[in-house]
Amino acid sequence: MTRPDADISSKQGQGSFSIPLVGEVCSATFTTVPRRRRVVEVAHLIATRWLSAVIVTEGGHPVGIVTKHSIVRDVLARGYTGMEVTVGDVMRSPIVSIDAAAGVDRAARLMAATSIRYLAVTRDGHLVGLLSHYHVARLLPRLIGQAGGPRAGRSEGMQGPS
Amino acid sequence: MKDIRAFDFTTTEYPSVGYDDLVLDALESMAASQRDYAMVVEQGDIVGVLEQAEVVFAYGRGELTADTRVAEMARDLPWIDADATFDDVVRFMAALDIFQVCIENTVLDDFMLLRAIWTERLAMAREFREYEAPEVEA
Repeated sequence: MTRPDADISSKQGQGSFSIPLVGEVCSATFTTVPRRRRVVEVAHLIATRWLSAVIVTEGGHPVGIVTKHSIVRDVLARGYTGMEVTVGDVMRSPIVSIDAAAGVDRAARLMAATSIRYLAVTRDGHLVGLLSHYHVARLLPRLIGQAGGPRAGRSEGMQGPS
Repeated sequence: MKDIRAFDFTTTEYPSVGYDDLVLDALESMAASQRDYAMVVEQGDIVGVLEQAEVVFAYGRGELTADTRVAEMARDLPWIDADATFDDVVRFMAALDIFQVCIENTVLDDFMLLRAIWTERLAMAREFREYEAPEVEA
């Protein structure tokens, strides 16, 4: 799946590189938890399943995100054990999302503009994946080597903060 | 967490880079070691950290090139005392909004911290064992 307008010529004239779409590189396997879950349970989940973040839902819809760092910063550092608070109390909300059809370069601009490391990926308004800085970082050698940086332009596909 | 010495849970297995290294090379080191950061080591001492996410942010701002050096993007990493407890580390991380701490040239990151707290390695974890992992919706 590539966009017709996503080909960019290399500076060295050695061919072209199609900027991948968010939907192609994001993790389609992600974890969601209801907002009423206690943080202690989610911290256990993160620690034992080697997760970096979980998406918080309400009524099946994504409403926020909780990361390993936010548990340290917003729960443990404030003296909570995690038993007294729910993920709904500490989640980052609203969740910042990007359309699966957007290019990875646009996702990087959105991450930079919001200082957010994890984006919810949506298609037709439905949550379909989770994009992290890791997904973008592993593409940077090719993106930089070919393009020299994200192109300025319109922000189709961006949906956040929503 | 007040009585647990954080140093006992640190690691020396982290990707290391120098200030003069290329950021893109540093990213490869991170990927190879499955970390989202690399420690900046100068003359044998940890002096800073390069965060994978900060590199992505720099790319998003149009500030990353193939020639960008670690020195342009790394930040200093303050050390915490070797006798620091988990409580100390947690407050230190929160106060400085950092994701890792350096203790006597070893590293403890936020994920290692969570794993240490919520696994059987700590007696306090027994308190939490009665709670089963929440069901996964998707």
